[in-house]
Amino acid sequence: MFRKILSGAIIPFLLIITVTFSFAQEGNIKVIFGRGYSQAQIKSMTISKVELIPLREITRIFEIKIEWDPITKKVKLSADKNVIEFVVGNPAVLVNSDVRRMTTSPRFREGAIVVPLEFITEIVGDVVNARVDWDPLNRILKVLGGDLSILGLRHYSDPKYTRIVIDTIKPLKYEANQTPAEDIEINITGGRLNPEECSLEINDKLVKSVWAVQGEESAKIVIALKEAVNYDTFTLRNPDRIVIGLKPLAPGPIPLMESLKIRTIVLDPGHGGKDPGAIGPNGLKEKGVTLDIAERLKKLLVERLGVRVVLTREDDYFVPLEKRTGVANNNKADLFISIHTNASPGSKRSKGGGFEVYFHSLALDEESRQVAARENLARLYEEEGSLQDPSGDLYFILWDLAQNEFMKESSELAEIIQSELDRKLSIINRGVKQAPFYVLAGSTMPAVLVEVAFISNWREERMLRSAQFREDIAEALCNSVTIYKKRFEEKMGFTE
Amino acid sequence: MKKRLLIILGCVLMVLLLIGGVGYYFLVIREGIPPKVLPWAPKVETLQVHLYFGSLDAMYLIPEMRQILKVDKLTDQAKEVIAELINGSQRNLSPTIPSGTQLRELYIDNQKCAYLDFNKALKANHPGGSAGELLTIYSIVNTMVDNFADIERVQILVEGKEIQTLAGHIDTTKPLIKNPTIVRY
Repeated sequence: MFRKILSGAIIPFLLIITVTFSFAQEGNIKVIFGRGYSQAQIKSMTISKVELIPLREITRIFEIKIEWDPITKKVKLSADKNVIEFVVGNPAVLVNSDVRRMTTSPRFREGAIVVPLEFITEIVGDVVNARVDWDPLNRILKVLGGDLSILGLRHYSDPKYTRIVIDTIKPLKYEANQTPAEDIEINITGGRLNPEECSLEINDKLVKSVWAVQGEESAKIVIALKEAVNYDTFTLRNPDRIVIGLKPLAPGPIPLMESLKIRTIVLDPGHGGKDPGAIGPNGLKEKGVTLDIAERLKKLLVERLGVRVVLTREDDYFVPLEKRTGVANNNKADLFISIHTNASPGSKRSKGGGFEVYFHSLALDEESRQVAARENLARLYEEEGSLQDPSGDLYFILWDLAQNEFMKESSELAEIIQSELDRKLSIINRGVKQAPFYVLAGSTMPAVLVEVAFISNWREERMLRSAQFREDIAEALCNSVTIYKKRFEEKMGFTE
Repeated sequence: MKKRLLIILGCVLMVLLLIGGVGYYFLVIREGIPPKVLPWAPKVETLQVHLYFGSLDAMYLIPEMRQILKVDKLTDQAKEVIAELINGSQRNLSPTIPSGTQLRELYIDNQKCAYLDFNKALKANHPGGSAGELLTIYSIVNTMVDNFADIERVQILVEGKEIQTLAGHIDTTKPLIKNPTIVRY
């Protein structure tokens, strides 16, 4: 009797599950290999806006070996010497013991394991011998490379340097050596190339030609030189490539503290557009206050110092942080001042108040130091003609020195601003501080961020509404720049 | 009579199984949340941790000692600590975590970097300001690094993704190390 009732209970339960399953939407994804001679189809399903693909389809298309432990629910995929491991129901993925994370967990559907689409584009693409690009508009997965892991060569000749780029389908390990014959050889582990597509006749000042040899386990690319060079190599992603920069042995000018006078100042009114910044208890928005102070300061600086002043935004619109630093770098600014109003968490009657001045912290941002140095070098290489003088290790040392110099100058400017604000304003002086600011990190000049007052503090919000208070702040900042400029130019040997 | 009782019992059982089954489906199969195992013999062991909250003037982080339940797994213990941080101070210190914030997931990789994945409230409900942002970020980072020898760096994630900044100032695209300069005792 009980058994009958039990089975009676299980049937509707199963029924409900089947009904829920059928809510999933189905879709098709086209897979194109190489130049499109070979194609395949993958069936996908969309569940709560996430597109999922059966794992079997992926392993079939990319010829990946799959192992599955039903007890631990662990899945192990192997392609070449690479291993991907994950557990169904857990968004973490181990790629050669490197932890990655997907936005959605792999799960079971209709007795099969399904994984989100990003599993192919973000993870599989890195381990199989191919570059995988997803075209969401046409729903096409492009699988490039096939056999080849090195796609071709490009070069750029500048009167001052030569740059050679090796396009690869994924990050490849390589080693660069100078041969006794004074050529440069780049041995790329796991490199497979078509020698015809990897040869260049350059014949510029430094390089005769480039040619390639396919080895058993690796490929070799040889750069035949005309004269002795300094060279530097590094890799970049999206698209993956190896970059070789070459320049004549004779040292060129050093990019340290390039200009000896303060000519251009970039002011950065914080936030803007869709990003209002902090909002005061009575509704005053940071973005409006910062723009007004920056405009007042610009007027004073132009009138009194005759310097060029550029604003990172001139109205109420959104500017991403990296663009703001970009404005400063591209305008070859000698100073960068970012203007903000402060806020603190807690109750609406927040007690936080006063002004504070920040400059970037290298100590708290140790990791980004080298990344920044590399990226900066890469950017200089990639932007035609803007390169001053990169020469391998020497350049990094100089870049470090320059950063330390900027840091010292930033700290000095911050101290001056602090004391000038203190003289002009009647609110608390919170001092000079250091923190890893996004907008200050990539700047190649002395840079500070000023939090002029707390908009979250009702008293200071009221002050920030007054034109006089904003003018006082602009006045104090203008005086600070005047003092800094005078000191700096005296140090550099200029006197008025 | 007995038969009727059995049928009623059977119906009740059926309904319970249905609820259980549907619940199991939604929680375990659909959302991927593993069922919690009840500790049959709960040992009450506690651990002293210190949590960093804001000073009232938003100038510093101040540590607050607290006894919390000791659990076996490192990641579970770390989650407990973050839950306490979200609960706020028991003394009169300022909260550092915006209201509605929840920790979605926590991982620790083999390079002693903890990945803390919060829901979107951490960013959406943040009051802004460099001072506020520094307090939020370093209350999380300092609390994690100080309480666990196996955590040296913290990568903050929101809804599973890296964010450029929390409120427009501090760079959170990379793992952060402890900031001792912001602490006062």
